[in-house]
Amino acid sequence: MVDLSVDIAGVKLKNPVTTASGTFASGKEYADFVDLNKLGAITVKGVSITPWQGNPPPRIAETYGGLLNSVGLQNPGVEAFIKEDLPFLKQFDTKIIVNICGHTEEEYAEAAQRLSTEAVDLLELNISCPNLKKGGIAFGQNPKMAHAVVREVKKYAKQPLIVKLSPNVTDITEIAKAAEDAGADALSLINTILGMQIDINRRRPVLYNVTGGLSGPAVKPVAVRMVYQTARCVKIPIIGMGGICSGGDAVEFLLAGATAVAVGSANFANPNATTDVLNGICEYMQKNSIAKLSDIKLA
Amino acid sequence: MKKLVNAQILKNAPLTRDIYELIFKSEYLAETAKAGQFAGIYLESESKLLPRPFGFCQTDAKAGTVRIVYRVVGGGTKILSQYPEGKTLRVLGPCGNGFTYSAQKRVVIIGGGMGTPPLLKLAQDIKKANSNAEINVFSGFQNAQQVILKSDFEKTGAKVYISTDDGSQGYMGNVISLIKNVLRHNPDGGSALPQSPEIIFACGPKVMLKAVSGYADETATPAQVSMEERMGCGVGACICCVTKTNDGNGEAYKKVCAHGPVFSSKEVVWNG
Ligand SMILES: Cc1cc2nc3c(=O)[nH]c(=O)nc-3n(C[C@H](O)[C@H](O)[C@H](O)COP(=O)(O)OP(=O)(O)OC[C@H]3O[C@@H](n4cnc5c(N)ncnc54)[C@H](O)[C@@H]3O)c2cc1C
Ligand SMILES: Cc1cc2nc3c(=O)[nH]c(=O)nc-3n(C[C@H](O)[C@H](O)[C@H](O)COP(=O)(O)O)c2cc1C
Repeated sequence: MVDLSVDIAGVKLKNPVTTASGTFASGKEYADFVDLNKLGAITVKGVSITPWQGNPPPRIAETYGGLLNSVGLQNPGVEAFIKEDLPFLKQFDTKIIVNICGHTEEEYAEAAQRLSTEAVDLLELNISCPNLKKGGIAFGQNPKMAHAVVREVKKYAKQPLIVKLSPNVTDITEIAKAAEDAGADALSLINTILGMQIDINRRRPVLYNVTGGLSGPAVKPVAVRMVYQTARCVKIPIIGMGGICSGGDAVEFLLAGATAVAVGSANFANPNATTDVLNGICEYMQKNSIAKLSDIKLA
Repeated sequence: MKKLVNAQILKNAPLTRDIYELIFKSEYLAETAKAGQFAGIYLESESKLLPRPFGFCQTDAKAGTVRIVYRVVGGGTKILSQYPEGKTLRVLGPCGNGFTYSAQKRVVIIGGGMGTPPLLKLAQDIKKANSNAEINVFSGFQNAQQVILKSDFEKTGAKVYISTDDGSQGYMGNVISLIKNVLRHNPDGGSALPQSPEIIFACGPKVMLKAVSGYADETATPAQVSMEERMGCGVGACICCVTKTNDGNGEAYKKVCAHGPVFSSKEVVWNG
């Protein structure tokens, strides 16, 4: 038996596989396919202090080896999440990571505060959504703003705080260091890369929102590079994501310096993706006689 | 419960120039699929990751087979059209909610283009549930080459009226004016369309569904419409394929793949 457990800011995950926020809803939608007890953690869709309506459709466009989305963080608000989704998640033997979004520092802080008394294991601060007019990514593109929002949220958060970084920056390590400095307990990256697709017959952008976030296998090399760079300049653990479809993909992120990994768009192409990734990591370890996950290191 | 099944292709051949009939083996889907629900077909392509949604056109629980009728419109359906018999497909389903039929006698079914296939299963299931049901099918297409499934519908005992945009077959014009025309003239001299259907079921382009909704309101007939939107996961997780609705508690985007694809015409915000 291989030891797959990992520690993220004092929270022990039985294995390094979680879900990427927004691609797995709150788990229910995939429970027909995946034994949720098998996952290290479930990271849920972003929640905000009040309900958000999201952007008009079309919200999705398929691209070569990936997809663009412009959902705009539609969610029923933190109260509805606590009432309707949390009880479902609590039935399973897995850790719960709640992704929070906001337009302002106060909104992020209020959501964190509201969740502080709930049975949630970790919070993930989404300062990197490219689909909002206000807030979201702005916090993730400016080290000072990132620092300030993390500081503010840390005042109210009772659970360890993961800060989710945007790849839409010149130097991701600047933002990573600012977040660590402000008290982030872990980092997750990458969020989607801003992109666009045009329908040449209609001569119009495919997405109503014009631009959207690119995800899926197409972004993996960018994500691996960013995890590698970030891991070399912070001490806090990293949850790596971006295009992970197989055990081999996950191992690549672990080698780049991630402590855990998240499976996102791959769920859309294969509802069993999370399980397949986990099994693939085990096989890799067995094949290479690696007993402990933390022994997966670059040569 | 939705499942991911491996389904062997029994037939995949053109019905018309660009419209194909796909028959695959899946006992599970053949037994569980309801009319109006859909299957997500994955393409074994590294570049095209998302499942393609197709309504169940016909299912045979005894033979364990499923029939899909699809039109080649883009890269994914092109790849699908090239799959040979014997190949195994990964299929997700049954997805979505499906139509709700509750023993109404006078039924009107309205289809537009590639919205027609799922309505065949509906007509068949209605006849199974209630052999006394009188079904009138109004089906609109661009031209005679695009007309599909007419005899399949007739086999259920339904009366079928066809319209084409260019008049190359049946009535020239759209389905709504066809319905209004049939109501007035009863052109075939057969049994007159009941003045007041008890229920309308429709599937087709949004502009057509909007007109159906208007017609349903004018005639105070309940209508169920099957909506189409660009889809991601097909299971309700990604919240991409939304349509604006108002169920009385204010406007909200609902998921076509999970809350729908079938909605009450009254619930859809048509200008949203
Ligand atoms: C509930 C439902 C039932 C459907 N049933 C049928 C059917 O029975 N027969 C049939 O011929 N077609 C049906 N369609 C439409 C069918 O899904 C699209 O024509 C098909 O996905 C096009 O794929 P493509 O790769 O060839 O096109 P591309 O344009 O290359 O596809 C690119 C992406 O856009 C998506 N897409 C493109 N057109 C549509 C569309 N009209 N609706 C939703 N997503 C789209 C594709 O799934 C893919 O992810 C249905 C759609 C829905 C939502
Ligand atoms: C449809 C969709 C919705 C998403 N919603 C969120 C979200 O609510 N919060 C968030 O932090 N990231 C969100 N993301 C980003 C993913 O969590 C992930 O960072 C990104 O997709 C890269 O991983 P992937 O290539 O494995 O999908 C979303 C991505 C997609 C495709």
